[in-house]
Formats: sequence, structure tokens, C-alpha cells
Amino acid sequence: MAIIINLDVMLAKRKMQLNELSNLVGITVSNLSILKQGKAKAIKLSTLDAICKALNCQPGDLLEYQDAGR
Amino acid sequence: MKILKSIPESRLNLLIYVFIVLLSIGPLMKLWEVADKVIFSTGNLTDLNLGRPMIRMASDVYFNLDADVLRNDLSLYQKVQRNELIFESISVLVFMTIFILVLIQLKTLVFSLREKSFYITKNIKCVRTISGLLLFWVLINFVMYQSIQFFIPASVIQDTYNYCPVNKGLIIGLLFSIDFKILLASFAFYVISIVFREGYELKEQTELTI
Repeated sequence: MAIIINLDVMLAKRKMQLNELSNLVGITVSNLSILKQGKAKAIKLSTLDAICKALNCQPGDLLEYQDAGR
Repeated sequence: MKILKSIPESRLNLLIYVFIVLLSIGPLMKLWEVADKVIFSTGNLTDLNLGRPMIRMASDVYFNLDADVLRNDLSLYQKVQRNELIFESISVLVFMTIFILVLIQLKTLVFSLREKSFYITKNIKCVRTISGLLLFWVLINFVMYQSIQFFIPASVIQDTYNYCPVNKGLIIGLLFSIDFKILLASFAFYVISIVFREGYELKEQTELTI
């Protein structure tokens, strides 16, 4: 997919573990792991909202568009 | 669906096998008929019925053979008798095999109803296989129908019913030799397989929405 989720980058920037984020946003570690690995097909706005709140960032910091042709 | 889930697996398995055996009675009787002709050489050959033996349809082929020609030529009589047996044996074995393969696939489908989800890749393959098998049935049926003329010499045929090969007229020949009921069923199963694939994709998408 052309949309890349930079959750691992943001976690590293905030020096936060995945289970810590899981406790803050109320999403299971396995689901966050799917999101981190880029296996997710879709993301709910409520999830994005919760992650942005927990990591104190903008949706644009988490999501990135990369042209598949490149 | 609930009734199906409440039946124990071993009993359901037994039921399906009983169903397969019951449906196989027709072809088995046909095989017995063929064996009877081989062993005891009984039966009157002047009225020949080359039906497609799995399910009795209106499209069964009947031949009225010329009794005088057969009576005067013993070798021809034996040739026609032998060819009839070969034709019947081949068609019974081929159609029975396809039929049992379809039943096995249907059994797999019925068993998957008991699992959590019906929209799994195994079921998509299963429905697609059924569609393919039915299409193969139509193809084999067409080939068998066309090959009748190579089994029964034209000189002994007095009258035919429901028989018109493609070399006698392309369109009418195709209309006679293509089993449209099975072809329609094959298309229906193919459409169901597409629906299954869509269902599987939707399920996966829902599961991977976070």
C-alpha cells in the first residue's frame, strides 16, 4: 500500500513502548502491532485521535504517502 | 444452520455417506446392467438407449436399430453390442467420478458451516472446484454425445430420438449436445464463488480495521 504508518518512528521519538501506548489508548498490543507492521487495511478516526492524543502529535506525523511507482 | 450445528460430527458424516451411497444406486444399477450383459449376454439390442446415466433426463438418447441388418450379420451384431457396453461403461465411470467429486466438495462445504466463519479461502476453492467439475461434466457430456456416432455404425440405425450430432447441423447439434441445466449450475456456482471471495475480503478488511 502507498500509505505508510510511522508509528514505530513516533514511538521512538517519544521513547515509548508499545504496551505503554496500548494502556494509554485502550487498544490491544496485537492490534497496535498490526498497525505498526503496516498490515492494517483501515484505521478508525477514533483510533487515530487516541494515538495522536497519547503521542502528542498530528495525524500527518503518523501517516505518510509514498508513491508505489517510486 | 442451527439444526446442522446441533448434529454430532460423526452422525453428520454418516448421513452424508448414506446420501452418497443412495445417489450412487442409479449408476451402480447401470453398471450391474452392463455386467449382466457381459456375463449372461442377455438383452434385446434392437432398442438401444444410450442415456447419460447419472440423472435420468429428457435428453436421453434413444436408437431404434434395424433388426433385419443385425439378424443377418452376426459380427455386426456383436460389434454393436460390444460398443454399447464400452460406451455405457465409460460414461458411467466418468460421470460417477465427477458426481462423487462434487459430493465430496459439498461435504467439505457443509462441514465448514460448523466453523466460526463461512468466508474462508478453503470454501472459495471448494465452490470454484464444484463449478469447474460441473463445467467438465458439460464438456465430457458433449464429447460423449458426439462420439456416439463412432460407437454405433450408421448402417444399423433405423430411427433416433434426441440425437443430432454437430456434423448434421451445428446449431441444432450444439443445442442437443450441451447440457444447459448443468452449465447453468456451473455458472451459478462460479457466481457463488465470487460472492464468497467478496465476503472473505470484507471479513479480512473488518478484522484488520483498527
